[in-house]
Amino acid sequence: MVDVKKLLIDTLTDEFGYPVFLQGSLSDYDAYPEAFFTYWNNETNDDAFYSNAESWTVWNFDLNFYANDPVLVNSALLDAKLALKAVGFIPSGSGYDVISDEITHTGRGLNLIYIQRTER
Amino acid sequence: MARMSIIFDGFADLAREIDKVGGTKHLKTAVDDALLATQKLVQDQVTQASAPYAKKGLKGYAHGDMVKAMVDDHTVTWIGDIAEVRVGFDLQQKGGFHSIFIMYGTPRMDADKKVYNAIKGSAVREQIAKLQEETLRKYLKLGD
Repeated sequence: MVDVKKLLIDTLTDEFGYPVFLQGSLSDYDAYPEAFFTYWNNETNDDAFYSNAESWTVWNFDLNFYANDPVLVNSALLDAKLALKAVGFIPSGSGYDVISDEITHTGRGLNLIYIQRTER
Repeated sequence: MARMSIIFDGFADLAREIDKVGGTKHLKTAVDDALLATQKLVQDQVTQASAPYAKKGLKGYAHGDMVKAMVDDHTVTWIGDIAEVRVGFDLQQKGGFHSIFIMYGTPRMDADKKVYNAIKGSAVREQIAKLQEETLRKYLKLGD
């Protein structure tokens, strides 16, 4: 069975080379990298029950991209959207602004779904 | 602030039936009723999820004003055939903006998904769809 979090992180790392962090995992002492992704798993629900056994699991993620270059912030998230779509993620829309702790950086976010078949 | 409209599958068919029973005005009343019930459901959950933030200083970015900035506007807005109610927090009010920090987090602060899920979670969306259908079905017959 696909390790969905690993698929997300590996796809972003392999395609773009920027660091990938769990949202909220940088400490107050960590300097922001020039550009980086963060992710958060909002919920993971079993769906389509049949004979009391789930048929698939729906993973819901927020993906964010932060950088000190506002043009890159817009373009990188849209490129990530295409790369993740190619490996089976379902992006919702084209993103929204997210807040950064540092005035040097801006961010964009995107909601993603991944539908994972349950092997029985 | 988020906007909520009618989301359940099969609304178009049910709307046609309600329109047949009592006409456009009757249908509009039914949709208004369903959306106000939706707003109450969501805002009750938002109130519960955001209660800890009434206290100053929790989670760094919230300073107590976020809770006071919850949407308190019970108006259904119609633009053509689309009807909506406001839910969540009023970003124009003092403290309303903190809800964005809380719901989505930042690289240095994790998100609080209780507040997020109260508005956007799949469980609340299922509850909304059920409530909307139940509310609208009451309008399949005319009142006394």
